[in-house]
Amino acid sequence: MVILKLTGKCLGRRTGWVMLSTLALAFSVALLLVISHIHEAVRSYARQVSSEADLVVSAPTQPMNLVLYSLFAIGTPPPAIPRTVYEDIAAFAEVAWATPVAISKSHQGVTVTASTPRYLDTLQLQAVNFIGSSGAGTAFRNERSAFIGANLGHRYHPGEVLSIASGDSPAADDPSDSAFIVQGVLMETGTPLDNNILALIEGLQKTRGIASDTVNFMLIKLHDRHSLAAVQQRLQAHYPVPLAVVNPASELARFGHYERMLNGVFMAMSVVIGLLSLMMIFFNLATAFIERRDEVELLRTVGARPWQLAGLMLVGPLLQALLALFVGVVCYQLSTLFLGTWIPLVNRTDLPMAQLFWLLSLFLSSFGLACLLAWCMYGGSENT
Amino acid sequence: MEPFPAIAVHDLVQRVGASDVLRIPRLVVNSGEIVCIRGRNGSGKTALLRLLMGLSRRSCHSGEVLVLGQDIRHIGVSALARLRADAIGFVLQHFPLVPYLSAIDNIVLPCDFSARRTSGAQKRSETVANDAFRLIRKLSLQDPSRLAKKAGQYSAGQQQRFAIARALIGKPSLVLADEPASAMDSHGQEAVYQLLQQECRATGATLICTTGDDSGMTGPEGFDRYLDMGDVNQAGELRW
Repeated sequence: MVILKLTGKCLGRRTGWVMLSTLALAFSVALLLVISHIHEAVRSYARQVSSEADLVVSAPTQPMNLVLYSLFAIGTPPPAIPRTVYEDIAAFAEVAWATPVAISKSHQGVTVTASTPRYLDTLQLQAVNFIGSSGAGTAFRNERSAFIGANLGHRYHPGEVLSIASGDSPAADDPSDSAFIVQGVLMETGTPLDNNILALIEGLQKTRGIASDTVNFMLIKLHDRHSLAAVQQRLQAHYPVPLAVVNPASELARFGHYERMLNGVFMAMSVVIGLLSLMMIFFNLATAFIERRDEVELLRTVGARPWQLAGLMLVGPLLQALLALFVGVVCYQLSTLFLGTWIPLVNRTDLPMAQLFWLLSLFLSSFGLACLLAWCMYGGSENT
Repeated sequence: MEPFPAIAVHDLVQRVGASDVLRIPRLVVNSGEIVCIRGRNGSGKTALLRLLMGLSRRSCHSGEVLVLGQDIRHIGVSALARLRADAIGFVLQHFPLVPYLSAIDNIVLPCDFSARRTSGAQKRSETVANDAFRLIRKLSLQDPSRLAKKAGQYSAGQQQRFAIARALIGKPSLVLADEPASAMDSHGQEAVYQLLQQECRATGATLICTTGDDSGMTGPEGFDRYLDMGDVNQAGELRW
């Protein structure tokens, strides 16, 4: 108890330096966790989304552009291709399912993405405010149902009627039977999909005046991934219509290389900050070790044992390290709440083991430094 | 009855590097004796007291040092710490107090390390704090509420007073005071030496007090025996 009392009062005396080094360590902990978390969340989301679709097919376009647009709605949509191409490819024996996506309609300037329920499942889009049922889901209630993106939630409400038109803006001759009902609001994705309306492509096909015989791209799932190369080859080299055929997993892997590089830079920065704060703690301790020699001798004269003096050197840094880890984790948890509104993907991941490894490493480093000085103190006390 | 030696030093040689710091053929202080050791700077007064506390025993080259019957050179680390905590009160010449503790916390510090000192203080004044206040009043500090300030906020003389109270609290068997009044005026010095002598006589403790007063000035009075460090230590004075 006396050691804890002395440690507490000693830390209280050096509050400024103690807080500075503790906050620096806490900051580096939070930074490490946040970077690691974002990296893991984005990678996990990309892996899940890309694993749902084996191929993406569209009119000739840049492969990366096609992947980014088809999976994340980032960039510009690829040029349209005839719907018959989709129907033909969907009938291939190797194809388990194919889902078309068309982006040629709008409602009051808001882009309408037309597809099937499988598109929502593939992109893991969840909806809230279901009409006629509770909970969340993605199933269209009927062919005239539509979901609105999260950013449009303040403009439309479930049950509201949407009049969908061809092109980017309403025209005077828009058909009267193009009304769709808002069924629900999609949960935030952090992508341009949040500004889109999603409608069932079959419903649009059956609507007089806006029915279209084109699609912009299609997502394809094969029965067997072993046939991936063969199907890709067949569509690229032997299909009568020129097509872009992309395997999203391999494209994202190339993209992942740059993402990993950037992540590595951030991680290195965090590690440097962590090391600097550990060094700051070490130098604080070393300075205190020298400054406190007289104090230690005084404590020895009143009967302090070597292990108690070693404890005096050990407890302070340990408390500092634990406090820094606690504050760092709290900051990290708070930051994920804010990050969730900025990058909604980060909400999808829990604290992974890799982050626990970082925490453990930092704690053990602090503990090691403290043990080193405590050992010096113990040895010094015993050898006089 | 034959007096029991509280301190017995025989044929002691202590070296730092190639220099002899202490060379003491014989020094015996009996239990309950009140002794003043005078000497110039560098005569080895502090070195002797540090050795008796076991703070520099590894530099002993030869000889025997018995403190309260314990062989300081060969006693175990834990037993030495226990001996210091339970039986010895020590006043360091420099750095008298732990700077981040309050004055009262500094005074009662030995009781945090020794149940025996706690018990001794409680027997005398019911509580440890009361015993601290009793000692402080004898050192001309009347207001106990002023003891709550951090040690570093007091003058050097006041810090020495608190260090003396710390050495005396809990009735130690041996009190070693290294120039305990060096930062005080003559009035303060008189009060300090009187308190040290009174307390040690009242409890039967042995007191060894060093002082630098050796140049014809009036030194502290009332000690049973006065020793000249030049006679005790044959290593001679360290001169730089």
